[in-house]
Amino acid sequence: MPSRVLGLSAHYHDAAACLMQEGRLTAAAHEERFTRRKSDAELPLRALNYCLQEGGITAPDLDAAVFYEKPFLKFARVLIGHLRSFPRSYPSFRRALPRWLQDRLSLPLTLKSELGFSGRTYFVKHHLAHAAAAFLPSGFTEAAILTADAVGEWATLTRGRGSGSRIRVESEMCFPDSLGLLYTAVTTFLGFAAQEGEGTVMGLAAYGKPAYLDRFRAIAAARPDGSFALDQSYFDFYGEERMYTPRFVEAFGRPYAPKAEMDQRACDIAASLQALTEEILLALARDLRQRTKLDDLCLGGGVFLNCVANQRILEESGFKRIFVQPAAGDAGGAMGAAAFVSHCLWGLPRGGPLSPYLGPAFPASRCRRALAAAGLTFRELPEEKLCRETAKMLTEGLVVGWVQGRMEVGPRALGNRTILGDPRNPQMKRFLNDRVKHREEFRPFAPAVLAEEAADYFELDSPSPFMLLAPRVRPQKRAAIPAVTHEDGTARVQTVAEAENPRFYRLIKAFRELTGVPMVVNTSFNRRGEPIVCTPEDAVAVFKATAMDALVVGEFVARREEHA
Amino acid sequence: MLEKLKAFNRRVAAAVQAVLLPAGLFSAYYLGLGLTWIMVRLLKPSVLRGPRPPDGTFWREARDYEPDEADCLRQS
Ligand SMILES: [Fe+2]
Repeated sequence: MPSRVLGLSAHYHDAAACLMQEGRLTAAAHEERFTRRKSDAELPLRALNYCLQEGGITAPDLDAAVFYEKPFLKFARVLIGHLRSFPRSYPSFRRALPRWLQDRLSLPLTLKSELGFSGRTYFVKHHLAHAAAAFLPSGFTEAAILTADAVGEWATLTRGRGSGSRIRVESEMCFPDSLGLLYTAVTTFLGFAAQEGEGTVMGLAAYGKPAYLDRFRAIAAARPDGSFALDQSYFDFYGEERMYTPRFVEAFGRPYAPKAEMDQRACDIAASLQALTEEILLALARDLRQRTKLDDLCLGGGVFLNCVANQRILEESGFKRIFVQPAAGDAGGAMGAAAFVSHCLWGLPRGGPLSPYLGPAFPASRCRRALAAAGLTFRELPEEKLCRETAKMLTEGLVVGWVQGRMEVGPRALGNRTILGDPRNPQMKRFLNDRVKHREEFRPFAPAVLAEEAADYFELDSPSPFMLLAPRVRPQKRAAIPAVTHEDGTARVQTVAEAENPRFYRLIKAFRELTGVPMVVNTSFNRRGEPIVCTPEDAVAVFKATAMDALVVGEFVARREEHA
Repeated sequence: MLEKLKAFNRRVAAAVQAVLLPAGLFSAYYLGLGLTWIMVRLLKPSVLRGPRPPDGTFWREARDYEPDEADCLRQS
């Protein structure tokens, strides 16, 4: 009976690999964390080798590999897309075609030459991979499924349901009608990078009013069931340089240059886009609830990294529970494809709850070596002392880098590759931005809160272990945690349960004992434009290059003043 | 001497590729795609517009989303 499958996503953005053995996810990682190239889209050879190593096997031991889309179907869409935009699409065609002909249509051959793997290679439709990634690890026996992203082969949105190990995708919307592409087009209009700046735009939205909502509604003519068609006279997805046309510029004004100052118009455009996105997603979810009458909803695809929209779906769609997996975007497609093969094709039973800690961990000897090689003075502490000392440093207003155990999968740092701060400190946001992260000041920082005390501070009655919900901070608590309360009174919460991440839980508990506040500021351990750190050496490099005050790697603590 | 010859050959190959690749892409686009575009416009313009969804909704019926093993082995 086959049981070992390697899942792969690549060639668009955010390539990743994962390994499932006996129906259990044993390893998963983004290629960017190894190559140190942000959103690396190349075939994830390093992530894939890590997965094999973690699983204690070699490529010939695999029963199958599976790719998260059907390359021939996608290639056909790319050609037809260029045909539709003829003759403006030449620059895009000139860039795309060599890449396709090089290796994108011959994955089995590439796997053979690069890995020595000559077993079966499966291909699962892109939105089926998203649906599987959303439903199969959700723990729900039956649930409605909604997927939304930029575009897969043709589909941009699907709806359906999952039951046991069966997934039924019932309807789809297709390219070029895409919520993800609309969001990305506006992201680039505001001067941010495609596939990277969408979260920034979501943060910016809190500073604006939806003054342009009617204009967006006219562009995306939505039906009561949430389905919509984008007026293509505003967009040029295969155009020369921009994803939007002069008509879009006529409607919204001059586009913003990269790193331009965000004025009120930019904030209002972001707020309007966010409002439209929420409006459409809510209508889609409500309609799906009506059709299925189910209580549980699984959400998949990059659009559902939008935690503000997820929160509204949870509160207003009629579903009682929602599940969004930590790698909801394309990296999670690898996990979805592998889960589909394991459970739906091979019939292996679905496992327990999904842990996001699926990346590499490093032994104490490696951590010690990395710190010593960088000339840092450090001390080794037992866990209890380590947590107490770290918590104390946070109360003193210090910014602490925290690297523990296995690296997270997905775009959020969830307590193992994290930069920590004091949520009570009104200056913390500025400190973190000026001294470490160097990112836009309007982007919020997130709290990691003890799961059992989350409801005391946030209007949240379900867990949010992957930081994919944005509940309101209770008004009476806002003044107590200014560093994590966003402009609109919400916070991107991660709830931390002891069973899920014991050491991180104990650290927050230690901070609570010192301050009475059961949470810390948690932001990803990286510098602007770089992937989250993976190894102790990556962490040391960021520590040395920034003004972070202390670094905790495993059981070792290094403070800046001690080596300055 | 042999190394110099090899380096020279590599440079020639790179130069040929630098000329041929853009020329090939240019003709593939303007001749291949261009002629297709004209034919499609004349014979089946609906391909350029995309399929028309049913009235009242932009959802379409999803097909081929419950693949068996043979379907999964196909790249299309
Ligand atoms: Fe996707």
